[in-house]
Amino acid sequence: METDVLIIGGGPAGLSAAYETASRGLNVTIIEETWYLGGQLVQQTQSFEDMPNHYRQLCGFEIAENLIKKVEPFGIHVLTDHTLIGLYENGEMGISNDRDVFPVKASKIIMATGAAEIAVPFPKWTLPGIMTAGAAQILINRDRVLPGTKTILIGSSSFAFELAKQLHEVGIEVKGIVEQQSDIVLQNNCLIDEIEKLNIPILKNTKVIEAEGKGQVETLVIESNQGPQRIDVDFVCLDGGRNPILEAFLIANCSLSYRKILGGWVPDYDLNFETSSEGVYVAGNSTGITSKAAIFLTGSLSGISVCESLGKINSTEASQMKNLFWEELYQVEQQVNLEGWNSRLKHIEGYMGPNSHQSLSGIGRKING
Amino acid sequence: MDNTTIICRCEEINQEEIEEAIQIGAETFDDIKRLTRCGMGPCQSKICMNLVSSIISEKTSHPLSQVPVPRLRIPLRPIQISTLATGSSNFSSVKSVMDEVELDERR
Amino acid sequence: MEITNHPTLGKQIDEEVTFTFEGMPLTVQKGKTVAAALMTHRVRKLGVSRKLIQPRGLFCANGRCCSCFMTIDGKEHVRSCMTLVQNGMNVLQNNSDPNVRK
Repeated sequence: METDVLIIGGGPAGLSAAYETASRGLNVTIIEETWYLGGQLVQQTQSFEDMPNHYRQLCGFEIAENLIKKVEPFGIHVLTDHTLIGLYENGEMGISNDRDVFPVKASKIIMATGAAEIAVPFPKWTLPGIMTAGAAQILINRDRVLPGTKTILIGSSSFAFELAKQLHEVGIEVKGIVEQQSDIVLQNNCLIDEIEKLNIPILKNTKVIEAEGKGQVETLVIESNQGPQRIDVDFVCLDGGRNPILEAFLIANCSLSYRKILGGWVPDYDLNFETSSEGVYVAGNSTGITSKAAIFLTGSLSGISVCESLGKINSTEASQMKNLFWEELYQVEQQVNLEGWNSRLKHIEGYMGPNSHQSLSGIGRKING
Repeated sequence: MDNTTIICRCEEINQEEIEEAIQIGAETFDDIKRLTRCGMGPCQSKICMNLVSSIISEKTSHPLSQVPVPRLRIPLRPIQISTLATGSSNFSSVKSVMDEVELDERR
Repeated sequence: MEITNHPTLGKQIDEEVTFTFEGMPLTVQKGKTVAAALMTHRVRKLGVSRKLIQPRGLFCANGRCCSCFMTIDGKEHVRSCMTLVQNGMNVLQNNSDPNVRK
């Protein structure tokens, strides 16, 4: 199979990149491991303050629907239930749908592999019923199944709080949000108030001792200054944060750098979002996890870069478009995650070398100014 | 967490086994992999990578930026050998797996 | 336990599908994965681990951890979180390593 642009991952970043490239006349193929487009947005019933402006009022799944509609007219070749399994020696990507394995030859590749949840180990955390927070959300919102009737959340990010709310809304008893540290990770006071109003205890300075149960989790033992406590549960949600999914980049020999703020190891990329492997671009959470807006905007940016390098857009227009996207990203991140923004620029500069400092110094801040 | 806490869910390698590997000189995930089979099960270290890196960093005092990610091999996802070998509509993928093995041994 | 009246997503009643789990027929609304379909019937243990033979179930729901491996229609070690349940599907617990000599 041959295509101009091969996009790995049909989530928000992949779809954003698909829109920019396909709408400019490129032949675009998306491979997506699940049976649907939209990625992790599909099970998000909450809205996000760190979205691009026009998406801020919408829930995650509505944004996914919007994006899918937006790319629909352009005849993108969508291969759902397909996954990247390796790379052939000649640079072609090995794709499989479980019955067949075939190579895809692409002029440019955009990897939008997203982020994965980090596990939270404790004794007997392998018991059935103990799952990631994301898994619980998939069950209630995508598959419309109750994972159980009583739960506890381990970890205190905004995602844990949102999930606690959503679990409560579908009738699950949420017995607490457990945080080992003295401060919770979430900064948003409104959300904390909401959780407190629902009488969901926020248990700080509390650690998980172990899980117990025969064949599945039945009890979670936690411990605070007041001593140990046994919580009767039938499932447990683990919120350990997320980091970029790297497998595809490692297979394509892309170099990585460690950036704690961006979520750990992140593929190196330049201002065009091209990695150290020529013709392989990166988009979305795999560029570093900074804000929801970055998922879409880095997708658009890599898409524009690909169009530029394939001659579908001239360099003046490309740089105008890119400036707009960078500016939009800065607008969002200066409010919600300036540290993430700075770390991303540092990451790019680290890869491009000290001479890039000048081209990076005004980024996102110059337009109309 | 105690020493018996499983870190690698697939191969069921616990904290203690990883710490032992570090004690006898393991400094990277790949070292631990070779000594214990940690990360060599069906998920291919997708879940334990972070956990093991943190333990290495903590025990060796190397910053996480100096604990490299494990070497990954194809296939990236579980796939039946029959699909890989005979389901290929083009040049056998098994051949490219073998190519990689040879390359590795030449190092 | 299926959520038929979702607080955000609204009411949805889908066509039903019937599959078997360890020979027992189970019915769920279509459009969910095998792992989710089993959870509808409070089945959380999907198999056992390969070395210590301890119970395992759905963990990441994203096809990464392989904790939800099951035998589906004769095929061993299928990720039940990535496989949509179908009418007539024969689902068994994952109780051992693959039998490669079959």
